This record gives sequence, structure tokens and C-alpha cells, in this order.
Amino acid sequence: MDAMSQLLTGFAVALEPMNLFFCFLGCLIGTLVGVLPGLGPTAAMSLLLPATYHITPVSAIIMLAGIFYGAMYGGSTTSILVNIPGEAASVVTCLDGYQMARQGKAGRALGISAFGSFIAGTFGLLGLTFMGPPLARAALKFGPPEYFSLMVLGMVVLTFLSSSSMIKALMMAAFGLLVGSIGTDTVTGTTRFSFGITDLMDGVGLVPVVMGLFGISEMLLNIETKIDRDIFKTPVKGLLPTWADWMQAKWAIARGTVLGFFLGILPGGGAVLSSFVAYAVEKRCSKYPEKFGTGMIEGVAAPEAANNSAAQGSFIPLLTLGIPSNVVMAMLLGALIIHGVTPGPLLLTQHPEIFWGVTASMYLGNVMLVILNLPLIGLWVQVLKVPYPILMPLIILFCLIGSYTINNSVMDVVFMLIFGLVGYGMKKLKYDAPPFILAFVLGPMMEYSLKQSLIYSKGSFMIFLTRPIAATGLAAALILLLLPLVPMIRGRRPGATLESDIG
Amino acid sequence: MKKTYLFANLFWLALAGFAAVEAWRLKVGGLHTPGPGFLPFYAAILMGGLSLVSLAQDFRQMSGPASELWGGVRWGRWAVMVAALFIYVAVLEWLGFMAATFLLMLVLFRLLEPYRWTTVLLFSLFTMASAYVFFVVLLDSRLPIGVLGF
Repeated sequence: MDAMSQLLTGFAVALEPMNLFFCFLGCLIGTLVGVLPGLGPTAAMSLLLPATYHITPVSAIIMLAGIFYGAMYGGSTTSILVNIPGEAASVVTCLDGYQMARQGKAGRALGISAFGSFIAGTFGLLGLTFMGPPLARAALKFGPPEYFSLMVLGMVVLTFLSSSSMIKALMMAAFGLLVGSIGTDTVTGTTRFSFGITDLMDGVGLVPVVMGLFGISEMLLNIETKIDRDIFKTPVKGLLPTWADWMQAKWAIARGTVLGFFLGILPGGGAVLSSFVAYAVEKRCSKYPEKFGTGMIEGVAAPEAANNSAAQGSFIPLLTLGIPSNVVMAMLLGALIIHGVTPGPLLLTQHPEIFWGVTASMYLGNVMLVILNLPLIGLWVQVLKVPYPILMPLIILFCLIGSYTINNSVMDVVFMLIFGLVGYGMKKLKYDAPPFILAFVLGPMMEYSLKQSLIYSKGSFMIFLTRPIAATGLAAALILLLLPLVPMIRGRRPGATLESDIG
Repeated sequence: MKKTYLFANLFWLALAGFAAVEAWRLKVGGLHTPGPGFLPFYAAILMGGLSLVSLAQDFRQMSGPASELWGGVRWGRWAVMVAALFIYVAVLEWLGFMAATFLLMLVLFRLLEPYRWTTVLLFSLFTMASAYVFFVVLLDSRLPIGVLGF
């Protein structure tokens, strides 16, 4: 069957009342999470993962995916109205979005952000629909060496793009590999690093780790200082962009969409990176780069289009190769495995209802999100007014119950609190959590692929160099590892180029 | 601040050393037959090596301007919150979900904002009851019932 007929089958799945409900719920929660600063989609997904145990895998993934791309929409609301990014992918939207709000153009900024997101999200979904199946067919020919090299490349790209020092990011990736190796070794059956603690024999769960690093650590950071949130008092009106707005923003949306999509597919890439790159590119392409940061509509349209396109694009490596390209996808990978589904090339043949059902649900979700984010904008403005001292205990309670209910074990809560403290320290000392999480999730798979490759080749590393895809992946990873040495000689990091372009 | 970074790197170095020794005990093996300690050992070596590089960088930058890392931190609130969370975990199964959650909410609401005690009591009761309805009644989650029987 071709992609279109498969997609129609997917719509039949997505339009089932329960799936439609969970799609809406995911989009609603995603928007809420995006609007509320301090709780990103990763933490929200980990919070709600235990609640999905009672529903079918397809409903669960539809809802969790909805939280992710819903947060991309919601994040812009807070950036524009409060000048605080609701989540990391909306950081650059603050620059011009808030300035537009100050000039009384909050409605137009929100409008172009929502419509740009819709256009980009739909483009990303078309990419997933038509590129996913051929890629999955090609991936059937992949063996352990190819998987190993792609996973190494993913980790190296993520560390290369790290916001802090690459050395620290690599340290975190190594730490993630170590924590990921706790528990029973899948090849030999030996228990590792459990120190006689029964709860460690199955390893440390993904949910307590993610909740601790992203949820509890954020709360610990927030309690140490007083948080002031001033919502801009200008009434939000005129949500439909004018013809002039469209003309001004059309190329920004187009460029952001295409850039975001390809950066979303890239191992280690994703919504956050794509929004930064799209803003920098837009500034370079503009005839008036000096006006960026003063309320340019392109400065809102480009990053918002890019982060939504990237959000959809990042599903491609997860669903077709089984390799998460970023932390949120790593969380979704964990969710799929918990539900007994192994993502990868065989997903399309073994569970077509999941691949096509989730894809179709995202088309529906995109429409729902435009409705949720524009006509209901007043509701989200009210949500922003809920005092943080009331929200914070609720978030903490959700984390505590969420981690407990995974295995009904207090030890999981203890692990979560420990990782909360570790995450707090990491944030204070500028150690990035994403390389840790990706390595933690990919570690066991990577180890398995590495050992299989070595056993198959009778101990020869040449197996990674004689197979073209594996060799290309490892060569790319090596180049990225060596690349920082070049600007070090010149006295600046490569990231500085992007940062200076944004600033 | 500089000292904090130095201590952090020493912590990672010690952790890497400990992990490397433990992985070695597990049997690292060779390329022909990689053992259970194979990946952890090399991951620990990588981590240790990188923490040494980072440590060297920190020493080199010792003369740079120190910036405020812990300035303005309200340690009292921070410590009370961390202590409250660990005490909650310690008493959860003994005291039961409802009582332990109510007490934790009392502490957190009062800690975050000096609301009146009646307001704090109402918020805590409402939060505990809502969480019970959502998780136990709607989602059928099993939460601990303690000595009080609820």
C-alpha cells in the first residue's frame, strides 16, 4: 500500500473517539506545559507516563506526542506576553515577540506564531508521511555496526551542540553511559553496580531520572530565589495577521520550516537548536538585521516555524530507525518500550496502527492546537496569572506520585530525589542534562550493538570501517569531536558564531 | 565559584575512578569477548580523562574574574524543602499517602509564600483530595495506606 492509503488507515485509528480524546488531552496538556515556565515537555511526559499504563499503546503515544508538539505551540505565548520562555525552544521568540507585545502587537505576534507553527508542523508531517516508509525499508538492511555508529553520531552531535563546554557535555554523556549500565547486562546476565540493592538489579528507571533532572531540579532552582512574572497588560486583540504581516513573514516561515525539519531529523538536533539556527539565519538574510530584537515579525515567525517543523521531523529517526534524536524522543522511546513496542524499521510492518495512527493524530493535533492557541488565548493568559507558590507544590506532588506509581516503590522516589539534587548541581555548574539522558537511554542499546559487532567480526574494529554507513557515521562523529580544536586555535568556539548572530 | 568548579571536577574524577575499579572487577574482557565491565570501564576512563582536562582548564583560569554562583540563594528555604521531600519519602509507606501528602503540602505552601494558616490548610486539603481522586479513583493507582488506615 502506498503512503496515502496507509495514512487514511491511520486516520481511521486517530479518529476513534478514545484516540481523538487522548490527542486533544495531549495537545491541551502540552499547551499548558508550554505556557507554564519551569516545566518542559520532557518532565510533563515523564509525569504522565505512569498514567498511560491503563490505555492502549497507540493512545498513549498519541497523547505523549501531543504533549511534545503542543508545548512547542504553548511556549511562544509566555515568550511573547511575559518575556520568559515557556520552554527551551521558545527562548529566541522572546527577543522580538515581547517587543511586539510592548508595541501593542501581541495579537499579531501570537497569530503569526500559531499560523507559522501550523504551516511548519504540517510540512513536517508531510515529510514524516512520505520519508518515513522508504527510510524504514532502507533501515532493514542496517546491522549492529550501523546502529552503533548512528548512536555514537547522535551523542556526539548533541554534545557538540551543547550550550556549555563540549568537555562537560562529553563528561555527562560518559556519566549517562555509566548510569545506563546499572542493572543486568543483557549479553552475559551479570548484575552490574547494584551493590546488593534489589531495586537496582533492573537498573535505574528512565522516569525517576527524567523527573529528577528536569522536574525536581527546576523546583530546587526556583525556590532559592523569588520569581517575579509580569504579564504585559496590553489587551490581546487582532490575532489574525494582516496581509502585510504575511508578506513580511512568508519567507521567514518557509526558511524556518525547511531548516527546522532537517535539523529535527539530524541525530542530536531538535526543536531547541532549530529555533536558534532559524533566528540566526533570518537575521543574516534580512535587509534590516539591526532591527532584529526590536519587534520584527520575522523574528517570531522563523523560530516558531522551525521548532514545530523540527518537532515533527524528529519523529522520523525514532519511528523508522528506533534511534531517538533528542531527549524528548528518548522519553518517547522509553514509553514505547514500556508499552511492549520496539520502535525501528519493523514498527511499520509489525505495528502499522502505531506509526500511521500517531502520524494521522498529529495532523489532527495541529488543527486542535491552532484552535487552542488562538481563540482560547484568554484562558492561557489567565493560567499565567496563577501564582507560582501554588503551582510549585502541585508540580512536586505530581513528580512524587508519578515516580512512585511506576513500580509502587519508594526507592524510585528516592532515585528521583537524588537525581533532582544531581540535576540542581548540574544546572548550577552548567553541565548539560540532555547528553546525559540520551547516553543513559542509548547506552544499553549501544553496548548491545557494539558487543554484537565485535563478536560477529571476531574482535576486529575494522567492521566499523568496512561498512559504508557505519564508517560515514563514525567519521562524521570524529570530525565533530575534532572541530572545536580549529576555533580554539583561532580563539573562539564554533557556538560563538550562532550566539553572536542571535545577540 | 572557582573552588566549586574544582570540587565538582574532583567529584567526577573520584566517581570515574570508583566506576573504573568496579567495572574492572566485573571483568572487562577483550575485543573478542567483551565482558560485562567492557563499556562501563571505557566510559569511566573517558569520564576520568575529561574531568582531568576540565580540572586543568579550571586551574588555568584561576586568575579570571569570579562570578557569583551562590549569591542570593535562600539556603534556609532550600534546605527545608529538600528535608521535607526526603522525610515525605521516609514516612510515606508508614503514614500513608493521604496523611503524608497533607503534611508535605502544608510545609510547601507555607514555605513558598507566607499565606495565612487557614489558607494553607485549605490549599493542602484540596490538593491532597484532588490528587487522591485523580490518581486513586480515576487512574486506579495504588498508593500506600498507612497506620491510620487511609
